[in-house]
Amino acid sequence: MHPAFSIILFTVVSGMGYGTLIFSAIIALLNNDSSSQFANTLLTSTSLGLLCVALGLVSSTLHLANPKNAWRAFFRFRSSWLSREGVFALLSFPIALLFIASFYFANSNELLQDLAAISLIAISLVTIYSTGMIYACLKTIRAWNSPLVPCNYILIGLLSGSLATLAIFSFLNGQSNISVDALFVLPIMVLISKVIYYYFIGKPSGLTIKTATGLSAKKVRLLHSGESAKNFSMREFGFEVSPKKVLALRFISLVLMALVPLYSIYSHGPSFGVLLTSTVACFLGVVCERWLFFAEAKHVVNLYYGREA
Amino acid sequence: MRLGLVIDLDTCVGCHACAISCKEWNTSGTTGSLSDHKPYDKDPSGVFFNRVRVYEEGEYPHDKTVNFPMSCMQCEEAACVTVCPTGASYKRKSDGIVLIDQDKCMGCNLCAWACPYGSRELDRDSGTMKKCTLCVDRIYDESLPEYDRQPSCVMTCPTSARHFGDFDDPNSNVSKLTRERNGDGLMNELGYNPTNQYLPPRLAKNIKIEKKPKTLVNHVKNWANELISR
Repeated sequence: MHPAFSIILFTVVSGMGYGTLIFSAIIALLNNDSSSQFANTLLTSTSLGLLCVALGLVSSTLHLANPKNAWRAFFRFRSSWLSREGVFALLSFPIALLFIASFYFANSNELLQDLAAISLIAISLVTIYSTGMIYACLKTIRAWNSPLVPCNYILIGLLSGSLATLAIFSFLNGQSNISVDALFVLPIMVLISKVIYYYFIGKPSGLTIKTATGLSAKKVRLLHSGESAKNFSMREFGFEVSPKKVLALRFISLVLMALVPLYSIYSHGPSFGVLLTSTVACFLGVVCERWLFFAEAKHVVNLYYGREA
Repeated sequence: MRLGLVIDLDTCVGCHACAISCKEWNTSGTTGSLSDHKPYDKDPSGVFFNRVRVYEEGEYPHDKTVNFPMSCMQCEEAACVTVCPTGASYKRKSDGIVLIDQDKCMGCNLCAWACPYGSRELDRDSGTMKKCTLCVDRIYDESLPEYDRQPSCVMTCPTSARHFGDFDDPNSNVSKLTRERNGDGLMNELGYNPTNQYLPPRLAKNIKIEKKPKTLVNHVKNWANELISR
């Protein structure tokens, strides 16, 4: 698949935004701090999370060829995952605002604060899941048609968001009550799930030019594509990346998004500088990972053009 | 009704007339125009509803060239309709034709990603997705003579390799052809249940190349033939 920059940015930034919202809510749930400094920090992290989500949504509209109809994308909630993603993303804004408001205007009402935090966590998880399902629901792309895809989206969103949230908290609040152990769990889970995913897409798909054309009795090969230049399908689905580059990028992405945060926090402790570098490294790693997610995926249309799928 | 096409891979000669005739009709049809980019340049591209590829089945000398026209299969389980977030893509209940409402499409490409046949193409000029309409603006047009109420590609095919009809009617020409010639849909393993059916190439005996006996007369004939060809 052609790796479009707008979609890569959309999935990475919005994943990070929802991760930030989730961890802001978790910190709020675990904390009994009623100081204004804590509320202000929470306001900052939640706003930055929402900003990321908004940036992601704007970036996703850059991919549209006819963005004036983008408002219609909210109306096929019952069948389309893209529509569901849009609706949930939109819903997360009022819920996040309610969450912030509960810390300023309902300081004594802990039940309301907890309810708002839990709904924020729920809507954020559901939205990242929907983002993953936009791709995972496509039977035509085997590398995507798997529950591993939304699982990876959620884990990577949580990882990048956790680092960003803790960086904000260590800068503004001095500390957060999230134990450092939590910071070790996520990179390890991301590592494991990505390695499982790479094993999964390494298997041959079983679809061949024979099953595609139905000429199953004998050997089949393409003689002529019938085109004098690249057509829409060839440009959109015919993207190829060399195995060497894939291997290098897989290594770089796993090191940047999981191993760098893991090592630096383990050896230097969760200070602001360490957390900030970890966040930046993780973000770059996730961009590599998402580029690969698109570049490595092969669409079945390629079979008709005599290539693998 | 379940309208669709039967394509005879045995008789298709790969002349691309269906693709050209389709473009000609549909560029001024309901989802027209089908824009071209740099049509006279080095890297020409444009929207087509129908594309013809050429395959070789088997290995020489037991091989056969198979010309393979592909357009929208009007799937029963049309994933392109399911994934569409705007509701621009829809499948008509009355005749099973899958269409795109050009006023609603936002050009997100997701339906093209969901289609295993590459039959949806983005028009860069309008920014909307376009696809085969099964000439919906033609097959119901009562101002046309009845014979003309067929898709443009079917009308134009010089070898009658394309047939149009209702698959729900067991006595229609398309149902009969599919039955008699073991027609099948493409990539059935994905479960989209395509309506269009493809008739496999018939098994044909290889043409024997006649070897003339080595006689004096033949030698003289060969020598004379070579002399003339020079």
